[in-house]
Amino acid sequence: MSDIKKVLIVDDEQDIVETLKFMLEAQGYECFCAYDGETGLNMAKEIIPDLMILDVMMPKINGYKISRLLKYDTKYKDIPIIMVTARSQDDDKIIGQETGVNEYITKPFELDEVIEKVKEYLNK
Amino acid sequence: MSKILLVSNDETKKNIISKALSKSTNALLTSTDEQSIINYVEKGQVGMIIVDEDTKDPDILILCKKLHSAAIKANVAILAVVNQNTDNTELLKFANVYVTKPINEKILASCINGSLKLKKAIDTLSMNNSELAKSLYQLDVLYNTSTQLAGSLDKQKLINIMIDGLEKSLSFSLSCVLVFNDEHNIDLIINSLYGISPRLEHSLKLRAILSYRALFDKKRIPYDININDIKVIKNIKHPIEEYDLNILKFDNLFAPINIGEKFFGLIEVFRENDYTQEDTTCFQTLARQVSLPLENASLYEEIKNTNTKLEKLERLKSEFISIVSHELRTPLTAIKNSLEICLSGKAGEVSAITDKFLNMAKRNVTRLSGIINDLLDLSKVEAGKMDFKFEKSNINTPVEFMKNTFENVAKDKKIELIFEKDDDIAQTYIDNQRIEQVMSNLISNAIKFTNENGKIIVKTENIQENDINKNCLIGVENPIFYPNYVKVSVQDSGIGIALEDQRKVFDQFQQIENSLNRQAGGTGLGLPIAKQLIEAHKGFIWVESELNRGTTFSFVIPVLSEKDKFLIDFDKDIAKAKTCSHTILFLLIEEPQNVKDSFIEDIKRDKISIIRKTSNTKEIFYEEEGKNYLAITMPEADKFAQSFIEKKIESFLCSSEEKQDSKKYDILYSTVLFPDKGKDAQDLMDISKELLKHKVEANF
Repeated sequence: MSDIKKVLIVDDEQDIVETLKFMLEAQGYECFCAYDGETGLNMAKEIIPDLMILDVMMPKINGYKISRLLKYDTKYKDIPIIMVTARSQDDDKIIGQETGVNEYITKPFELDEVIEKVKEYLNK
Repeated sequence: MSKILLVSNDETKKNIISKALSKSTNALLTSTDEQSIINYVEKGQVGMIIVDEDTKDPDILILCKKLHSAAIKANVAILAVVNQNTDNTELLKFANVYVTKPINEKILASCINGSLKLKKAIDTLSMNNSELAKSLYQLDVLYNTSTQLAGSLDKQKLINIMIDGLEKSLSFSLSCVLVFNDEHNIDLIINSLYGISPRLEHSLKLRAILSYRALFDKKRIPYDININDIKVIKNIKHPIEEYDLNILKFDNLFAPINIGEKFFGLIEVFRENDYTQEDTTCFQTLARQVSLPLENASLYEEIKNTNTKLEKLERLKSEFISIVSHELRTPLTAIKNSLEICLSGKAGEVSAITDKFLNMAKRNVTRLSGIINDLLDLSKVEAGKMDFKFEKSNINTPVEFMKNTFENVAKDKKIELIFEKDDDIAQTYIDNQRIEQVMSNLISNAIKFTNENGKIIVKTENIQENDINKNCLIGVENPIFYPNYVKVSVQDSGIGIALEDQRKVFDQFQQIENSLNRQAGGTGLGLPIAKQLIEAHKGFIWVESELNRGTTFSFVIPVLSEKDKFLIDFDKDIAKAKTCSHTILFLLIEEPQNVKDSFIEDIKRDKISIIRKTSNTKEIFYEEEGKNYLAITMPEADKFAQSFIEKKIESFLCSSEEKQDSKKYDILYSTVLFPDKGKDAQDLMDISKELLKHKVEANF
C-alpha cells in the first residue's frame, strides 16, 4: 500500500481535467491526463492506472468504446472506471453498465462527490 | 318559312297549288329528277313534298318507297294528290296525308298548313330532346368531375381533372388555364388539338394578362403579372398541324377561378362552333367547382409548409436543449470545481472577504445549474421525453422524506411544519423521485411565502372523484377522471395569491410580479414543472388561496388498476413511437402451452413483411418458465410500421376484452423504448433483453 495510486483522467474539457487533477493530487494520488479517447486508451494500456475517470463524448473514441475495449480485455478489466457525462439519460446509464462502467456521475458534479468515489475504489 | 317540293311538271297543277299557297309565305319548288328530290329530302332542305298519283316519270310509288326512311328521319311530310276512287293503297300508306281530285284549294291549303305545323312541332320537340340529352351528359360530366375534384389536394391534378371535364362536356379546340403559384411563378397550361405557333403562344400569354387585369379595378390589381414570369406548359394532341392567330376568332368562353377576393387563375376555351347558353352554364359551373378544391389545395400546401417549419423548429429546440445540457453544464462544472478548490484553501490562504465573494459566486453557480435543470426538465416533460419510473408504492414515503428535508429549514424560520398522514392510504403508481420533486417545490414555496410563527400543514388522504373541486382545475383539456385518488395538500398561512394570479401560477415564465418572489429567487418554472409531472401521473394539481390568509396547493394521483396502468403506459408508448425514429417494442405475452399462438404468429408474419421494408429490424422471441417474451426492435421504423403495431395491439386488446370466454393471451407487459441514434443493432438488442428482464422481474 506504500505505492502512490495512479489515476488516469480522460476528458476533452481541459479545465475539468485540470480541477480534478488538482484535487486528486492534493489527496496524494498521481494523475495522468488525456484529452481525447485515442490517447486515453493508449495511456491506459501503457500506464495501467489504478482508476480511470472517463468522459462519454470525446473526439476519436468515445467513453463507452474505451470502457468496452478495456473491460473485455483480461489485462485491464479490473481497472475501475468512473464515467462522467453531461447527459443524464437512462439509456446511457444502461449502456454504461453494460460496458462495465463501475460508477456513473452526471455533470455538473460536486468535486467532493468524485473524490469520495475515487477514495472508495482505491481504498478497497 | 318552308320550302315545298312539287314532284310534277304539270303547269296546271303547279298553278293550282301555287294558288293554294299564295296566302302563306311558303315557297314552291318543282322537280322530277329523282336524285335531286332525294337530296332535297335528305338534307332537310324542304319541309314537305307533294306528289301526284298520275305522274309517271318518275314512278311515284317507287319514289315514295325510296324517300320513306329519309323523309321520316328529316321529318318531311309527304302529301299525295290522288284520284277520287284510287285503289293505290300502297301510295296512301306512304303518304302522311292525301287530298282527292279535283283539288279544292282551301282543303289543300289547310292540309299543307296542318302538316307544316306538325312538322314544326316535331322539329322543336326533337331539338329539345337532343339538347336535353346533351345537358344530361354535361351534368354527368360535371358530377364526375366534381367527385374527382373533391378527392384531390394536388393543384396540378385538380387542373388536369378540370381540363378533362371541360373537354368531355364542351369539346374545345384549345383551352388555356392560367394558374397562380406565386407572384413570379405563373403557369399557363395550354391544351390544344393542334400545335401552337410562336406568335399565337405569345398572344395567348398577352391575352391571359389582359383578362387578368380586366377582372380587377385598376387600383385593386393584387400585383402586376410580368409576361416573363409566365411558364407555358403545352399538351398538344395532333402536332402535325398548327393553330395560328385565326383561332382567336373562334367562339370562346372565359371565367376566373376565384373564391371571393382570393384569386387562383383563369380559364379560357376556344371552339369553332358557337357555344350555347347551356355550354356557358356548364363551363362556369366547372370553373366554380374547381375553385374550392384549389383553395383547399393551397391551404393544404400552406399547412404542410408550416408543419415542416414547425418540425424543424421542434428539432432545433431539442438540439438547443442538448447543447444547453452539454455545453452549459461542462463550463459550469469547471467554474464550480475551481471555486471549490479555492474555498477548500488548498490553493492558498483565503481571506475572509475573498471567502465571502467566492461563496457568493458558488451560490450563484448552484442557482444557475438549478435553472438549467429546471429548463431541461420542463422541455423534457413537454416533449414527452422524460423517463418516468412508475412503481406501485405508498405516497407517504416521499412525504416522510420531505419531513426530514424541511424540518430544520422550517424550524430556522420559526414555522410550524405539521404532517398529517393517512396511514391507510391507497397504493398508487408513482415515480418517487418526481413526486418528491413536486412536494419539495410546494413545501419550499410554502416556507418562502409564510412569515415567522406561521403554520404549514402537509396532508395525505384517500378521496373519490366527486371530492375534487373541478372548478379549480385550470388549463386542463379534456380531463379524464378515475374513481379513486390519493390527495396530497400543502396548506400554508402565508401571504396568499390574488384570484387573478391564481390562474397564472402554473404558466411558464409567468412569475407573479412580487418583490418577495424576487427575493425568494425562483425561476418561475417550479410550478409549471410540477403541473407537468403530476399530469404525467394522470393526476391534477390546483391552488386555492385567499390574500393574507394563506394558500393551499393540492394534487391528486389516481389509484389505478393493473389494466388502467397498462393502457396508460401503452398510450404513452404509442404516442412516443409516433415521434421517434428508433423504436423497440416489448411485448410479454402469456401463452397457454400447446396452443399455437396465432397472435404472435400474426405479429411475426407481419413483422417479417416489415423487416423487408426497413433494414435492421430484429426480433427476439424466447421462452422462459412458460412465458413467452417477444421483443421487437425497430431501429428507424417507419410511420407505417409504428401505426401497424398500434393497430395490431389495439385490435388485440379489444378482442380479448370482448371474448372473455374464448382463449386469449394477455399482454403482461409492453413498452416501447427509444434509444438515441448511433447505437448498432447489437447494442439495441442487448438493451432490450436486459430491460425486458428487469421489467419482468420488477413487475412480477
